[in-house]
Amino acid sequence: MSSNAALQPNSIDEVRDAVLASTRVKVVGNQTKPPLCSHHDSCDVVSLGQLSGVVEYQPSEYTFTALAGTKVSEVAEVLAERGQYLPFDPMRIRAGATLGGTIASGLSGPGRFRYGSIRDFLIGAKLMLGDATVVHVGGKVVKNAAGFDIPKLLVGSAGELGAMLEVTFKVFPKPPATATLKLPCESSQQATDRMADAALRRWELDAIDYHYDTSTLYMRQRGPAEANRLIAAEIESQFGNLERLDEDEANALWNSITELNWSGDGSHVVKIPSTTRHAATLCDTIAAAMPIQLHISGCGNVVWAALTEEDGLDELESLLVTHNHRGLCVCGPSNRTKLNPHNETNIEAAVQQAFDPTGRFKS
Amino acid sequence: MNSTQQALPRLIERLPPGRVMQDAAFGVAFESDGLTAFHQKPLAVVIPETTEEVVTTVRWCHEAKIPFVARGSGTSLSGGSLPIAGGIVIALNRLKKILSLDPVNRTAVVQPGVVNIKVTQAALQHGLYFAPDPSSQTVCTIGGNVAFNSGGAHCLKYGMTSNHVTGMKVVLANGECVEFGSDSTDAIGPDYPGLFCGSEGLFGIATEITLRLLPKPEKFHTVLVGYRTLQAAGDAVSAVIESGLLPGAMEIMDALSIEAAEAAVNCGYPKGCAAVLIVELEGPRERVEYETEQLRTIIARTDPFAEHIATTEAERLSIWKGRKCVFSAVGHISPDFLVQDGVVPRNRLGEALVHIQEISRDSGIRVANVFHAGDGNLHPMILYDGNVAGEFHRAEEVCSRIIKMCIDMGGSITGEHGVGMEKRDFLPDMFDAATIELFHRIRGAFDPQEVANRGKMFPAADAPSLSMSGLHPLEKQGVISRE
Ligand SMILES: Cc1cc2nc3c(=O)[nH]c(=O)nc-3n(C[C@H](O)[C@H](O)[C@H](O)COP(=O)(O)OP(=O)(O)OC[C@H]3O[C@@H](n4cnc5c(N)ncnc54)[C@H](O)[C@@H]3O)c2cc1C
Ligand SMILES: Cc1cc2nc3c(=O)[nH]c(=O)nc-3n(C[C@H](O)[C@H](O)[C@H](O)COP(=O)(O)OP(=O)(O)OC[C@H]3O[C@@H](n4cnc5c(N)ncnc54)[C@H](O)[C@@H]3O)c2cc1C
Repeated sequence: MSSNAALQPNSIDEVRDAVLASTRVKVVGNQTKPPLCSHHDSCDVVSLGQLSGVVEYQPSEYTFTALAGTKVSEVAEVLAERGQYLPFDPMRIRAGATLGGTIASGLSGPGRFRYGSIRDFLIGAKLMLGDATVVHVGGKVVKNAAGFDIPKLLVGSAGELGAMLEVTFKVFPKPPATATLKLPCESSQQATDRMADAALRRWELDAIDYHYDTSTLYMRQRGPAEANRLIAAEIESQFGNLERLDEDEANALWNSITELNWSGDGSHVVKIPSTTRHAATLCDTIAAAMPIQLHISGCGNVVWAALTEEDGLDELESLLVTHNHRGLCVCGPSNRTKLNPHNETNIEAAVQQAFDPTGRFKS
Repeated sequence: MNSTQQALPRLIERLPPGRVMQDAAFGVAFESDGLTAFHQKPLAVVIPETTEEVVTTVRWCHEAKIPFVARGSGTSLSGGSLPIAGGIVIALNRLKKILSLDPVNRTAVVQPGVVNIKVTQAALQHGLYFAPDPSSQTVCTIGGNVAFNSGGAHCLKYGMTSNHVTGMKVVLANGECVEFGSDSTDAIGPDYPGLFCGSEGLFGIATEITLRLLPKPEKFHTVLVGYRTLQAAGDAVSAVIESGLLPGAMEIMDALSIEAAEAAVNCGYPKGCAAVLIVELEGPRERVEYETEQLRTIIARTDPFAEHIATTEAERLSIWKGRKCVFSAVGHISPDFLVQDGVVPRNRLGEALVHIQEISRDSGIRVANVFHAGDGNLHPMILYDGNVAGEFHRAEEVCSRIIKMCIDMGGSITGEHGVGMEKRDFLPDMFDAATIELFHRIRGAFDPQEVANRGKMFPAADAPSLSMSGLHPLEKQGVISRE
């Protein structure tokens, strides 16, 4: 993977030296050039990609601890050997995403619908603060209520609160089988109505996503194959016209969603948090105003928007402003990160200062 | 007259009449929480009815540098809602509206004083429920649940309170009102609702909370299995885990707990067991039926002494009744007790229990054990008689040895009850100095004057007075029981 990182420390001591030697630092994982890694010219880039490896994995504890630069794909393999997985569907793992980068980006895939997003599975971290001190936040057991829950705050922190060195996750046993159902819809409103309906039922679906451009609703089940089959029959009797994807089709589908490559290479991809209630209107409004590809994930809780022209980001931003939504650019050639960002509040500034008194990590 | 009393008229002026209670008799009800060993008289109790009144009160505290403790139902078991000397109590029970409930988004926006069970009661009409279910759920408030990141028997599968909170309105300790998060489960930027959950009232007061609701599982399959040894029960948990099943709950009770439960509610658990294991599967019926078969095969291989499968909802509730009553039931076999809440890695549960038995033997203090076996969360009950000189202190010593054991095993000093007043001296055993310094800085960012719940969570010198015995008043009345 190409990298223009100036520094690639191999140990925590080397990370400390690198941090102390700079006045401004941008910590990255594999520095895969998404907008989230954009930085001021005055920043020294420190890649934690070399801090890699699973430190501790006890399947019976449902937890693992790994260095923050470990590739998520590597962890996923280790877990799979013991029939376990990260239920939130970590994103972009084929592209080389690291654990630290995944946490700092705050991205979760379609599986977030059932058991929660990455915030609900990160339980501990070793973190280097702006003054290069190392702290140990959270814990290593699945249940812990001691001290402030700082691991949660690291999710989405985009490297601004400190450099994650080591992280501990909760994992789950992977259910024996997966089944994916495909349902054409007449409109996005019908799709989100069905999403809302399906989410209330006894079926306990694992993922509910809607591909706006092809007007197709996808529902994923996890469980024993026979149970999946019986439940699917009931879903069909309710919604009609279902197609069951075979394993290869299903894998290709969900991979294209988690890898964000349904939009084609080189697009600007923007994450827009939403809700089941508002996702359809939001998408319809955006699609009516500009050429764009859209995908609704997490039962409406995230809208992914992909556009090819950089100018489109301005247009998208003005729509988000009108409709009171915010966006995060996660891929594409642009250096833009946030669309319709909210102004930093006093409390956010004060908390940032607590982690990073010298302002080293602040973008 | 101290400074609080001098400043109080300025608060009374700013609030509608009847919000500030200074009557000593009234204050008595607020003197302690579920950890009745500690008592402290508040100088006044403020009972706001709107967010604006909370803002007014907190701003006054900030200006006059007067400490406050937010209080829900006062069921904290770690002294978290104990009043602060020279400070006021802000009781949130009148902020008890469910502001909205949206079945399309599966969310509810509630005020902090809403009692936990009321959320589920309101959500059930849409087939939804609120997953976090502490044993105190019929009494404790969502505000308290958020501040303590409370749990219950279902944490392994569903996580703690914070997994079910996406947004909140908060009155910070300086009186500023801010919003964190939203009604989406996704967000951009650091996760502030997540940080606020579990902050034990040290950051400010949550006045509106957005909760996620889940569809109520269609079917439950509940099994009670008796074992000849605690070890065998522990091994059975590992066998279930290794099989790839993810039960909604897995609980173990030891012989002393069974004895207490039988004495109290005659729950009909198999006689002569050294331990019972309760496993509950839940989900769509087709899935549960398949998993039931799997579970049956696994249990058969664990050398069970007796097995009872609930075939009706009444039988299921009867199994849970025995489990849920243990804490209040202990009153039948001991005049007083303390509950601990440490966590150990699950595969060291057996070792931890043997060690607790040794501590018990050494000290001559009986310890009964029930625990959330699925997530290693121990709830040893340390039985003592407060009227026997020295017994309370020996019981405290037992607690402290158990907490230290949890830390040594790589676990935690609290799984769900919070650090509060009770375990603040153990915080440095769990976190190094640099981490505690970070905690202080974060607290300082929210509350530079340390007016919000001063003296809690962090080690401090000022200890309130101790009393040696007593159940929570609500437990005495049999309204709630400890988990
Ligand atoms: C179309 C598309 C293309 C993409 N291309 C790629 C790609 O080719 N490869 C790829 O990996 N990702 C790509 N991404 C996104 C990326 O996968 C996710 O952001 C991923 O989580 C990044 O992981 P990373 O380890 O590369 O982190 P980085 O991209 O290096 O960093 C992401 C963010 O995390 C912070 N960060 C990283 N590590 C740490 C740490 N240890 N401590 C604190 N902060 C940290 C950075 O400061 C940055 O804000 C792409 C996304 C899309 C949609
Ligand atoms: C019999 C019994 C059984 C229990 N079982 C369980 C159990 O199974 N699982 C479990 O986790 N706990 C359990 N507990 C402990 C307790 O019920 C929980 O911690 C509960 O969440 C406390 O809620 P409360 O409303 O009583 O809060 P309080 O005790 O009034 O307050 C608890 C803490 O929250 C703070 N607080 C309250 N409201 C707010 C607010 N709006 N904003 C900010 N801070 C606030 C207080 O300052 C205090 O620090 C049990 C307690 C008892 C007595």
